[in-house]
Amino acid sequence: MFSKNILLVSALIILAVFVAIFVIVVILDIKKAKRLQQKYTWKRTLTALLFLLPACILAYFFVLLPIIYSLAYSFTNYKLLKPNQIEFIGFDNFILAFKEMFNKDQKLSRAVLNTLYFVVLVVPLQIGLALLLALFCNAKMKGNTIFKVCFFTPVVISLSVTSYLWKQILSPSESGMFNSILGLFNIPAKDLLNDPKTTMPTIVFISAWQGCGYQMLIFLSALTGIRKDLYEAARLDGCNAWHRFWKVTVPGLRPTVLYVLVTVFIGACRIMVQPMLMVGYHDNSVTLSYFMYEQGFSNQLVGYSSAIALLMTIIVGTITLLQRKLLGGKK
Amino acid sequence: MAKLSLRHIYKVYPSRDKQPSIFKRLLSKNKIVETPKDFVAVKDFNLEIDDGEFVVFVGPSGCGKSTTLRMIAGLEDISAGELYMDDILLNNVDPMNRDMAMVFQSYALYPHLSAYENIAFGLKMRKIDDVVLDKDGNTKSVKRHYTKKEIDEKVNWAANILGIENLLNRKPSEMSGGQCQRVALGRALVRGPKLFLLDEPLSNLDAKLRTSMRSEIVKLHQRLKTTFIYVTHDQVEAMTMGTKIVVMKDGIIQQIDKPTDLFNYPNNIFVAGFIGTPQMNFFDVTIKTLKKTLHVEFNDSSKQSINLDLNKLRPIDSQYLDGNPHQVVLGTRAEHLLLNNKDGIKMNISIFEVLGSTTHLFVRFENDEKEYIVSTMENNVWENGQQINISFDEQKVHLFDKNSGESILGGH
Repeated sequence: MFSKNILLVSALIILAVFVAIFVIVVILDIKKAKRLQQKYTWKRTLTALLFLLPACILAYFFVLLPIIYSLAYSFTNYKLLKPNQIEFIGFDNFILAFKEMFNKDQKLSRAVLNTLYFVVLVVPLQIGLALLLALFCNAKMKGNTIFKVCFFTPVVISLSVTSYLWKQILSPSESGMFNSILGLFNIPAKDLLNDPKTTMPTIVFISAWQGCGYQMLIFLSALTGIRKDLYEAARLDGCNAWHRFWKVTVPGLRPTVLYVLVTVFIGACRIMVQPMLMVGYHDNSVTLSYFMYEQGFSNQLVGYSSAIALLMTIIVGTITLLQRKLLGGKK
Repeated sequence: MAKLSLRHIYKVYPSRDKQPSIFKRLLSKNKIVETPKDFVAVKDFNLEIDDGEFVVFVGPSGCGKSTTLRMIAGLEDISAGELYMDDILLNNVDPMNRDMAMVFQSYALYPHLSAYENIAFGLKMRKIDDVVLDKDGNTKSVKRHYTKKEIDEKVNWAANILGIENLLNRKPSEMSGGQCQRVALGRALVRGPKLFLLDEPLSNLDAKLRTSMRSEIVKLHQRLKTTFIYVTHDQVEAMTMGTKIVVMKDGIIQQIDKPTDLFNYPNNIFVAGFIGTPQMNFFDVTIKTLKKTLHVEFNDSSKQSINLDLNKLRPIDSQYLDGNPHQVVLGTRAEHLLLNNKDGIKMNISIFEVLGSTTHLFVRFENDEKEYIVSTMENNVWENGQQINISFDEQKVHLFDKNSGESILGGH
């Protein structure tokens, strides 16, 4: 019943929004036609909106509706296997989330800390690595394409596959390649993934390795977009290679850096697959998304899980906006 | 100010195409597999440029003029030859240490900096020699950056010259092409370089702005009295701006001369055709000396002929004066073809263009397709198809060898 109500209400709201947009567009088009002294035909506007309709319907079902459901469930005690016993409980889920977040012994506080730790490390590492690789691939040299393919390959491999691969490589048993190499130098075997001190740094490294190829490609296209004559002018203006990087390349990459920063940051906040497949649900590996997943699907607390998702969205959205404000610069 | 010397300069680009693989060669068996050849962009370039000269490199696209300029700037390596500035070999000197400033066709302004910052950029990057007193009261030379006040003074001085004081806070995206080019000139100006290099700086501007900027650059040169090297494909720009013009084609210098000499005494058909508007007329003729006259027979279907007075013509290479017929190309400018009621060759007007003070008559021989241009100031009533008599201003006639294209006249 609850779900049906949400569906109905949201559909009505969306329909109202769509009609409102149609009316606004019609009014604007009439004004424009008057200004250009042309005859207005409403069919033109309708055609344009009909072209938009399929995309709007898809966006409604796959983007808007889940958000609306999640928002609605966060104020309920919805349990996964009891969809008929949903009750409105106000802000109880949020209060519980805040209590657990500030309680050191709770998994949620560990998840927040681990996610924070991961984000702070992986964002600069991944972007820095991507930029370095892009600069390397952008240099005039033979075999560039081979390097590009090598650096990009991890991106196209499934996260689960690379996670199992790395788990195997870092395995403390004899089959682990990493420890076998350490053994050659008589260094005792290390369980990097399960040692609380090294779990998150290892996940950070693997995630950066996996993801940086994609950002490298974005940086590469941005680098080729920087006009060569700017570098030549800088050379004549007395810039050495370092100055040219700071005075021409970096400003030229600024819009790209902002885009990459935002996407990597959002991606990092959602980290889940790597700790889940390589380590499991432990204090040293739990992240916000992982915690959310466990609460929603293992403990069946969909309401609580939705509340955390909502909180996470608000925090990530706010930080992203701040990044845009701080790094966007003047238009 | 600088004296520049380019001696036997070559620029060779290795072929970008891959050499054919062994497999390809084996598969092709008896067939010839072409190996890609290197591209010679500039060939044996020799030029001496004196202090304060305004030298223009002119030629069609791809003739190597920009490449030569970039080699002088240090942006391209010199494949062979030597480049000297004030008797110092520059071949391996970094562009930043050459004391040259360059203005690019695309302006090359830093998009994230304002006009002021763009102009000041080169000053901020560089260090200057300064003399200071040490503890003992002795003078010593030290390197230091320009102070903010010095930079401010220089930028304002350049902005004042170029009339861009009110644009200094604008970004390149907020300025027009002409304004951007002024800023680019300002950036070169503040540095006070020994040599100004300008690579087609007016190509991106509209015709009106180009004309006004042209005269501004000339005024700037007269004011600064610094050596300028200017690259253009526009012969009007070259003729109006340069004190010395270097005409290039396919990486080879065709002629180096003053604008008037280039116009009056072209070395070959290419220069004669490239310099001057409208383009010089070229007639395929057979010449033969008859005592003191030169008998000229036109090789078209009408087979008309005229006699030119050898005394009025510029001296001809003696090998063409042996009394035997020789195939040559006769060149004459549109304004040096004279309309005549009695003598001369008969041609028909195909179309005419009235330009106000002058009229361009497009004429051709009967039963011939090739058109020639006659420029006249006569205010007659012209008709398409009308037959007219045309004679030649003998003192302004050019003769070129048909095979080599070189001028066979002396007296330059």
